[in-house]
Amino acid sequence: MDRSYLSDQAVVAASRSFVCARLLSFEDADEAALMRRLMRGRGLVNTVFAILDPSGQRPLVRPGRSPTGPYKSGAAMAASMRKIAARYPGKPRAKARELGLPLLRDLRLALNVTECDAQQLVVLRGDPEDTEALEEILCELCWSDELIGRFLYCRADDETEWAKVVGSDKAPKTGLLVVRTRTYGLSGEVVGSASAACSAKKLKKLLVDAAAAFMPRSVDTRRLRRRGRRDGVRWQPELSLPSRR
Amino acid sequence: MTSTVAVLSMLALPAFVAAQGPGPSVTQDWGKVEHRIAWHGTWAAAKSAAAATKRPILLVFAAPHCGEVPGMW
Repeated sequence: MDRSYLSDQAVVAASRSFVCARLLSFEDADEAALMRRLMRGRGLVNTVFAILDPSGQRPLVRPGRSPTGPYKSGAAMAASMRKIAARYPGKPRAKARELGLPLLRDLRLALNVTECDAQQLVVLRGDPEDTEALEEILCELCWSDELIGRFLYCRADDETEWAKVVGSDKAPKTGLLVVRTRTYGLSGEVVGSASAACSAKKLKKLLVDAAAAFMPRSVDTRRLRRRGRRDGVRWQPELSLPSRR
Repeated sequence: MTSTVAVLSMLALPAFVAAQGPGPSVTQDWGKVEHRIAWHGTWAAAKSAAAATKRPILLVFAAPHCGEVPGMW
């Protein structure tokens, strides 16, 4: 049975009227505190689902482990989201800079999450001051109809462990890299790049072409998990994992 | 079982579950997902965006590892 509410295309369409946040359960103490608050003091768990008002303070749907709690189907979830969006219409055509570039916290997490999503990663590389113009262009593009939801994003500088990204030594030290992740999301490979002086037109072409050329592979998670354990591949989260989740 | 269902439902992809011995085998067929949700990756950024746009917030927490093996939800 397909229970993937969050990939239901009606839910995806409804999500465009929301700010969508997917936080990582065991990676940040402040976000863990938010999880505990939402779950009314319960310990940390793998998954939480909630819909909040624009202040982020008031739940509009009772928080729980999964959208399967409040909703019987993706269609029901999408219908509920549309009603909530009608109550909180916000700015119908919010500017990209108001939404901001949706960055993951760092390259290590971004590689992992990108592999989980079977997508591609865009890495802004270099000092933020030197990539400011590029980031503005990227922000406009990432919320455009053509590219919304097509990539994940992060920022990385000289302190980053670039050895994890094959081809990064040949790419611009200040600019943007398009990275395809490898199995387990512990490393990746540069498949495209742009300098900090890249024009909006060229950057759009780079990203549109990269999105079109990308064929996500299907994954049997049970086999991959078994293989990972056999090979000693382990993820070390920032926070301690609970003994039972 | 509850935990398995919760995790599956959080996945942003079609999941086809078949009983093949102990534990479910889940094939994630990403090629069938045309459009994706555009996720903010930090609470600070999401709160800032919601304040600026007055939009409600769809919030999920998920762990980017399965059985502590990374690269899968």
